[in-house]
Amino acid sequence: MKAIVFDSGPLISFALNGLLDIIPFLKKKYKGNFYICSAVEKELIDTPSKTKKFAFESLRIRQLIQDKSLDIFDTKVYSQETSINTILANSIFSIKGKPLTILNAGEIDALVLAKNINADAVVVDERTTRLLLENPYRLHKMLEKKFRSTVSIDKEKLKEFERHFSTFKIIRSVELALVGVDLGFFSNYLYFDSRRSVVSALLWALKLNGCAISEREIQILSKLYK
Amino acid sequence: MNDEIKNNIISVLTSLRDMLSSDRMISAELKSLNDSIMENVSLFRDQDSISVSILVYSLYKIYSKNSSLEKKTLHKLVKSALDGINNEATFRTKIRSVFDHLKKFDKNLDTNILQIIKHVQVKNGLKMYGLGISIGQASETIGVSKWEIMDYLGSYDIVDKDSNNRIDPKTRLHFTQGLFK
Repeated sequence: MKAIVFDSGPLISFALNGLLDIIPFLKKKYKGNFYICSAVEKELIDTPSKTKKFAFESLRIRQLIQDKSLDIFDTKVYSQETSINTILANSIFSIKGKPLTILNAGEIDALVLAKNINADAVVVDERTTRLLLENPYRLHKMLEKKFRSTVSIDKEKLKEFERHFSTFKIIRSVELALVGVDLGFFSNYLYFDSRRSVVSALLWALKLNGCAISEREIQILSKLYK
Repeated sequence: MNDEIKNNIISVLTSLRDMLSSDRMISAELKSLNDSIMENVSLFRDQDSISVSILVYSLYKIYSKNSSLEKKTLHKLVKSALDGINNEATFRTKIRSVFDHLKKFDKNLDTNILQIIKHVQVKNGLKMYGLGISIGQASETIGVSKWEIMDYLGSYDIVDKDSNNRIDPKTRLHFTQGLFK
């Protein structure tokens, strides 16, 4: 069965933009499963349900789970693997011998799940997880610049981490939203403006609610739509 | 509290104590001091560094709104916390008493200190993210939800500067489109 695993970030980006309905729409087109792991469920439902500001959005995500647009995968069976990889990821970089804790267990949990079920992709909106998987030396440079300090990199551990998680690709909420544009999810908006303008507005909306996409990337992607 | 954390906190509180003993406007200095603390918070992820950073940023917000707020009592309380740093329990009690003192200004200043503290937590989470720590890790360390950090994230232009992805955006899009064919 085909599968895509979601980190909590992209679903939060969609929720904050009132775009959660795109999930059941895309699920039907994908003909596979959209999974979230147990830790992600906690971040998406349990935590926001206790706040006034985000409680309604958590209800909407609960509804997506109820109608099977999102499936919760109980990742307890992988908990040891998640722990090992969390320790591994957080010992790749260090400052003055002190390991830099850059990712949390919830983020690793989604990667471990994707690896074990041979998922097509993991949807991750935030930058650090993606850079660690796709461009760790860029992340290394960034950490050195930001911490204004020499950051050591353990290349053996990095190789081991990359070896674990090289089987799937990373995508973001913005790419899913553009597939939504391609497949007609936003067709009602095209009465008001050109496709390019709608795409640009959509990408900016997702960026401004947490998806790590640069202005340059928005320009490149918007130009693909006339 | 290990020696490295303790020395960092001593350095921050010494700067803070000196600012509070001066007659000058201190809001810009407080902001700059908070920026430097966040690097330590990201590295050590300990509760004491987090509390001190929240304290410094809360003071920054308060002094930005009311630069004439009296400093004498605050100076005395910060000095007392500094003197108690060798005993963790004492130190934490003293830091709490600084917060308690700030809360007294709630009515006078028309400023909701608790809201400021929450805002400070989110801002500090954003700062950690800006340093290269993931949103999940930043929210866990600071004690706010990912929702709150992401809700603010777009306003701070963190990503534009650092998003040099190795994968071309068109390639990533084409891959995603391929999944739905």
